[in-house]
Amino acid sequence: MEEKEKTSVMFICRTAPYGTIFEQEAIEAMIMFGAYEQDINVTFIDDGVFSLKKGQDTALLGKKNFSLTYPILIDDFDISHIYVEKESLEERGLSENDLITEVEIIDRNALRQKMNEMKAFLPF
Amino acid sequence: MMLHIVKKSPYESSALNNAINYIRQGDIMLLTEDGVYAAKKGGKFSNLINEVLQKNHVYCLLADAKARGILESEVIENVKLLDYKGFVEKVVEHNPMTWA
Amino acid sequence: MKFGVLIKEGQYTHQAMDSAYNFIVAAMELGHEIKGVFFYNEGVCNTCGTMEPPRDERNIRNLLLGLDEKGIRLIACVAAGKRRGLVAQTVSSAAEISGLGQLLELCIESDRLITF
Repeated sequence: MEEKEKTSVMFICRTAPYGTIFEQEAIEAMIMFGAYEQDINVTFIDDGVFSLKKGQDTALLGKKNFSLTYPILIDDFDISHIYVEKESLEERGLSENDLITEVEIIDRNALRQKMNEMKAFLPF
Repeated sequence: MMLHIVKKSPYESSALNNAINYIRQGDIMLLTEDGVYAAKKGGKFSNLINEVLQKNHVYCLLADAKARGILESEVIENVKLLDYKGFVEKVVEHNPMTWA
Repeated sequence: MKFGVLIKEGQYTHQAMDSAYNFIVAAMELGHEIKGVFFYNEGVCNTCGTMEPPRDERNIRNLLLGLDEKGIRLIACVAAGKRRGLVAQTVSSAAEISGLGQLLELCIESDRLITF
């Protein structure tokens, strides 16, 4: 059978964790999409970058700590890239050392180019 | 090329700012739902919209502007009003990303 | 052209369903094909089959039945739905409950995916 070209999809995560359900349901979609052997990209911009901040402890909140999922996403699921926008980090006083896991830091200009290569966007 | 859809009011959301951050040459912007408030002349964001208009086309959904009492004469010059069919045509031409 | 539609907002707090409906009707009038509408996040609540709004108010349940009559596939996410009390007994007869894989299928099969 002829190999079909992969579909490039980009999750655009721009909301902070816990205040809304967006992060949780975005992760559920990422995990599911990872199983379909397509080109799945995840990008954190705006308040979305807070999802990757180290030191999250949700015990007092009574919710799952979703930040623990991202390292697994990279290692165990077939996500092509996890990008974090440099400008969004800087605006929020964050740097690479503040992040829970190794992700690709990308500047806004490069991200604009990447976006242009996508077939579909999933905003969260 | 992309269609950046802004559907939240610029007074309460970073949707418009994000759309502006990622708009490239050849991309277009559509203001819908509460995003249409950005199209109002004399508002805080009119300078920003005018800057975008230097390089990109900006559209505003007629139904949403009308519903909110924003008359054609109150819409920033060169922001074009679109009906739903016009909206569909823009999505045919450009890949949509929704900023909410 | 083939369109996939993703609806992420609920039927009363937000305008998303109304915008999506008007878009879908206009797209079909122009001869485009709607491959499917996927309901996610609070958007799944649009597919509730037991909503009874006041009679003089726009009725999402009827809008969905209308889309179903036009042959449009309406898909409520099973995980997002369950969480919000949406199950086979409460979902609209116009919609089916299925998994997130259907959303990715829409991305693959449609020329454009548009989010409301």
